Amino acid sequence: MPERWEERWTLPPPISLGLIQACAGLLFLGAAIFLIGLVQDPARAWQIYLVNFLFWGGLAQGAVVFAASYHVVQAKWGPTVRRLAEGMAAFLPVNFLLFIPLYFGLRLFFGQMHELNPDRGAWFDSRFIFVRGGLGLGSLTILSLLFVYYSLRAEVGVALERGFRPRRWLYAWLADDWQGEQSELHRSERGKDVLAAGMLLAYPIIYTFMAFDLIMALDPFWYSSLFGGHFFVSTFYLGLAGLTVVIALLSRMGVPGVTSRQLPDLGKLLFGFTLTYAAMVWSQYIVIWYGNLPEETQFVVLRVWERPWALLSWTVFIASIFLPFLIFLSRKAKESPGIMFSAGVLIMAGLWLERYILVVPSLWHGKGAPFGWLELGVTVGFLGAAGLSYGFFLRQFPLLPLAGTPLAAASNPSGGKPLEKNLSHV
Amino acid sequence: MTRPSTGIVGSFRYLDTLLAAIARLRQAGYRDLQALSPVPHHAIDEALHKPASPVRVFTLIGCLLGAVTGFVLTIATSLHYPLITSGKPIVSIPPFLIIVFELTILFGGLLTLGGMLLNARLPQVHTVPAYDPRFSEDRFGLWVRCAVTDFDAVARLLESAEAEGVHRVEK
Repeated sequence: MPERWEERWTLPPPISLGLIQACAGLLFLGAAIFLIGLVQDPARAWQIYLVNFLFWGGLAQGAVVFAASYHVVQAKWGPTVRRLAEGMAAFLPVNFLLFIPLYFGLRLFFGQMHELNPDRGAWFDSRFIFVRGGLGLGSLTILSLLFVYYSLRAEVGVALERGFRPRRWLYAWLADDWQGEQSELHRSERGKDVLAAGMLLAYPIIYTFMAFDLIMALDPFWYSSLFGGHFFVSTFYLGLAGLTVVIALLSRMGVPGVTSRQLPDLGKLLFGFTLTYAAMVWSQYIVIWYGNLPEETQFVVLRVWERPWALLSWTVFIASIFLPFLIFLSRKAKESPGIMFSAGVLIMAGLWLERYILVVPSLWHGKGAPFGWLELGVTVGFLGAAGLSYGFFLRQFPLLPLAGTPLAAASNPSGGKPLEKNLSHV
Repeated sequence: MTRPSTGIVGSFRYLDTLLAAIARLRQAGYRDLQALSPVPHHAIDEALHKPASPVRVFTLIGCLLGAVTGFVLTIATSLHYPLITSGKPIVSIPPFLIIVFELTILFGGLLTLGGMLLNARLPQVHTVPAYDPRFSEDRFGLWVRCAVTDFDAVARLLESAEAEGVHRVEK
């Protein structure tokens, strides 16, 4: 077994250079369309920018939080799943950079808010929202990157010691000041213990703030105290769905180390989070229905009963709750890469639309739902940025842990004694 | 044809060797097999070609029954005591759904438990002959019912599939 693991470090990466170039092309196309949109209709450009910022950043962050929870519960069922989840951290610094221009969008969104609702004090000043959003997002990004750094450092160091890879820029930096295998492995484990737990504590708090500041506050009157919970659960759900799409795709391509055995387990997790997400939506709905307060109900009525938003809201319900629930009931469906891929894409599309339906109706007062080349272009641009950073990670680092590192020790699925004599799944 | 009361119990250290043994025995025509496992594993069901468990039918019936009971209970009691509360309709579905959900889970859970006990014939006083307590710890067991005349053939098959121990039951 160990020999086969080590071979992974010399295998060609699963992502072709052409795909990366295509992502770069999409990024430039999206950036150009966004700039044109900014000149023509800044309000429309900024609202779709915010939708995509929340979606793609959440996708990456949700997956990294999944990797952290994988570490905290000492899971052993899918070392490649974990590596693929960690890899999404590559988008987080980009996501943080994308937050900075959002300052101008926030000025636009919150400019007249005090005229609409004079009760809102300095807390909802766009500059204050930007500063605390940046601090929160920045600290979560740093936590996530440090976590991935510790996870990679030990393995990269061992790989360099054994001469599997040349000591070049990223590798040299990751394994800088190498203290020897034993002490580094110990240090790496301890670092990950602290950072994973820290991330799991920080993530719900920071994402609650993001939900309140960047979504809830866009409506001058609406509030729902559970909305933060709704948002961080749906973001985690989004991360899991994205991870499922990647794994189903790689297992279809026959990439070594990614097997369809991990899909049923991911399917069960997704099933659980379908229900958690539905519970979050329902818990808010029932309280708002009961209280029947105008400032609370108007938000729901606008989105669920009035055209054109109602159609979109019900699509979200069908795509990210109802259909996944039916699909994941079946064991056969959870074993099929094709179905899991479709289910993952369906959930992601539903959750993109969810962010759209949460953000846009609060800001858009024109006729109909704005969706055209501008919306498509900005979305494609974000897709390009996310694909570019993720593809970069996948080309740099192998999917399977190196033998002798903590990840490899953890990849034995039953912990102590293996369940099977001839391990066929790693 | 009556089932023989004699047979052989093989014990296995690994799941895949157990599965291989089941496949070989079935190929040789021995279909009356019972696997004993410390952990549930779908691969064993598949190797034994077991039909889908009937317990899920119990679960479905319990859930449907619970949902109907929930609706009937909430709607009927509201209609019998029609007191308008905070301007809401007498029959307002959103809050009733909570009761419906609870009863769906409750009835579904109870009938699943009942169906499981019924189908597993629990509590079971007599277990497989030559049962080894390690089948609940770290070994897999395979109980092959067969006539005494087949003993040698079955034992050979089990041993060729890397069974750790082969125990003959003749009585």
